Amino acid sequence: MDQFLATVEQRAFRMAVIATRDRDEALDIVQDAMLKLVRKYAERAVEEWGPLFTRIMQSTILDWHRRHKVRHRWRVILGGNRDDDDPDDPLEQQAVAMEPTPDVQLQYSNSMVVLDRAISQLPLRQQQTFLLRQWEGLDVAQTAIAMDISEGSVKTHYSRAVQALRQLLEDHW
Amino acid sequence: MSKQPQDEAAFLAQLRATLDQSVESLDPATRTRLAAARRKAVAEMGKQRKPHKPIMLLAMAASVAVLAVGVSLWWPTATGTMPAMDDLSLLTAGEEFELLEDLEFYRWLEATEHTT
Repeated sequence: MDQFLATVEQRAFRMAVIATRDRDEALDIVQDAMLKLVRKYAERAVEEWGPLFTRIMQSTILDWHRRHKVRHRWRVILGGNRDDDDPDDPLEQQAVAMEPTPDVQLQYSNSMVVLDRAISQLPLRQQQTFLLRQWEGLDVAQTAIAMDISEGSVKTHYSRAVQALRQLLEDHW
Repeated sequence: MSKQPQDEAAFLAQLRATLDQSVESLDPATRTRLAAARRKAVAEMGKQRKPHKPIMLLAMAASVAVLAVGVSLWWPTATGTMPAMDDLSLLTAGEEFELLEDLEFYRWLEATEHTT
């Protein structure tokens, strides 16, 4: 288990950083995912750990976004500003623009910051689909399982993500 | 990096390479924190496994106890079947009586048919 987690933790952390734009939150997400894997699936076959961890990571990121959104709504309500443009399903809409924190910016080269910023502008589902398909190398079916969505949705999100990234990065790359 | 990608495959390969690079360039402090998180998770696995033996022993003991109680309940009923049979006969006594009455009726009906 230690060896397996060592091989996946850094990519998982980067995915969480892209999704949250916060290193501490990202570390918490990775740690939660590790603990969930160990507590629920340690007895499973070693070959299953990879897909299980990927799925746990995606659902943990999704949970984080939902909690983040709820906190944001409560802040809006308590602050007296009704956000009428708040989408019902934030995951299907444009992601909340979150700039990388200065420490994140210092850590990576300019191209990484530009890419991180571009991916973070995508809605969460598009972010996840893009990273799983392109970076993790999962096929459509595997991505659908990891995200618990239909294969058709995977294709749609992925296509939109690539299109959006091309537009967002064409001035930089 | 500033060159415009020629096609989608090259563009995507460039994205992958940048993402890979971002992992390779993770700072030592982050790596240390990740390793600590991993150790904590792996330690949890040790804690998870330890209770399994006592749980298994408890489950086995409970199974044996249930079996013992079942057997002890079964033996007395085997030796004292008469009260149980008495209860059964009492419960079905009324039906038997009715059946006997019906039999008497059918015998009388049969007899009268023969005579007519």
